[in-house]
Amino acid sequence: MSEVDILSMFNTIARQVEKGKDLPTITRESKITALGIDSVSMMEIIGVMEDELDVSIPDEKLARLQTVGDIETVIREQRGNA
Amino acid sequence: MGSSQQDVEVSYGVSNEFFQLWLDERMNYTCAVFKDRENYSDNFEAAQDNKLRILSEFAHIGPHTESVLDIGCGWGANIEYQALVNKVPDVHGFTLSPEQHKKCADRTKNVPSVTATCQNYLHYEAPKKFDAVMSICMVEHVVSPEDARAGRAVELYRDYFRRAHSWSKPGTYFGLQAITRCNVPRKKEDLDDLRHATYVIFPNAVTPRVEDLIVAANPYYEVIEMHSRRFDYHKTIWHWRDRLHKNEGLVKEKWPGAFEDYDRYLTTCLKAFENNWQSLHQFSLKRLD
Ligand SMILES: C[S@@+](CC[C@H](N)C(=O)[O-])C[C@H]1O[C@@H](n2cnc3c(N)ncnc32)[C@H](O)[C@@H]1O
Repeated sequence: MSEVDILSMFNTIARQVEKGKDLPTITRESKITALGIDSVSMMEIIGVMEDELDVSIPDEKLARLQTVGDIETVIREQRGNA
Repeated sequence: MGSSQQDVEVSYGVSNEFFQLWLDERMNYTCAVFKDRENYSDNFEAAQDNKLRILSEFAHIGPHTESVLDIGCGWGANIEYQALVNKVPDVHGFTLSPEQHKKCADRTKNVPSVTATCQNYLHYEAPKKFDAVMSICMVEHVVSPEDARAGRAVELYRDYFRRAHSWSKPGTYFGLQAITRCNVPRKKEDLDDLRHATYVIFPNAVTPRVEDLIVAANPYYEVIEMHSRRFDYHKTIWHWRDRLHKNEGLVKEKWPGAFEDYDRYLTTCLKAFENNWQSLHQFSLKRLD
């Protein structure tokens, strides 16, 4: 499968989920909480990404996700395993 | 680190009278264990006593037991039970909530074998080593969501076990009960309910994952027995909500907003246990010496 741009996907979905909020520029290094996205909204974003990419991130990895790059890494791991 | 006293006051400080209206008579604010494994039809008060009996067994409390420590003792259900039912001659419990502590002191003022203090486990210094340690759904306050994100969960649980170990005698047991985090929902409406529970009812607490507790118990404790009791908690919550509903008028009159907040919270809990977002685990832990 071709490489998916997970960063821009996160960007689009985060803006849909956090509609009305003025989110700053999102990079791989961005801390999710520093973007103003709380852990509950993050789960919603992750749910949409999982559906679109047809992957499922193991629950035990979720609490450790701090940056957008962390999300990218676990999604790539899961796609690699698929 | 974990829940502060301010957080704990949000969770347990509404009013003792408010909680008394919908908890069991002893005021256990934790999961009961039902003997009827099919329909969970036991009388609720009896099921709460059954929980305390099981955890006493897990902590190996018997006629030989001279002292018991209860970490996070709530309104005092278990410390009173240890003194009056198990006849333990020296029982100590502590809670971080001043309101709860008041209730503990009040209900045990004529029970000389019980003492209770209001303090943080992080500052507790045991005046002696105990024969048994118990902790019923307090470990959920040890790690905050921020700690969990930073990867500090196991380290903080391990420190909690290290302390419990240091407060007990060699060869003794620890009866532990905890709500545990399992599957995480992804749907917006579910997440909105969880957000309410997380921010409004239990700020800065996060339920442990069962595997994290098991990893963290080492090198202080060996897991001798473990039971998962998700449906017992579902039924417990059902009773709490039923009792809350029966007192709707009074609650609305005396504590504006509390009925709505707790009804929503308990309804979310029902869903959480139904769907395996949360479960309940009980452990019998033996000290490693
Ligand atoms: C859910 S209640 C359970 C109370 C009681 N064990 C029962 O079964 O009803 C959790 C308890 O942990 C206590 N707690 C939370 N954080 C604490 C801390 N840092 N130190 C001591 N107690 C704490 C609370 O004050 C509360 O009494």
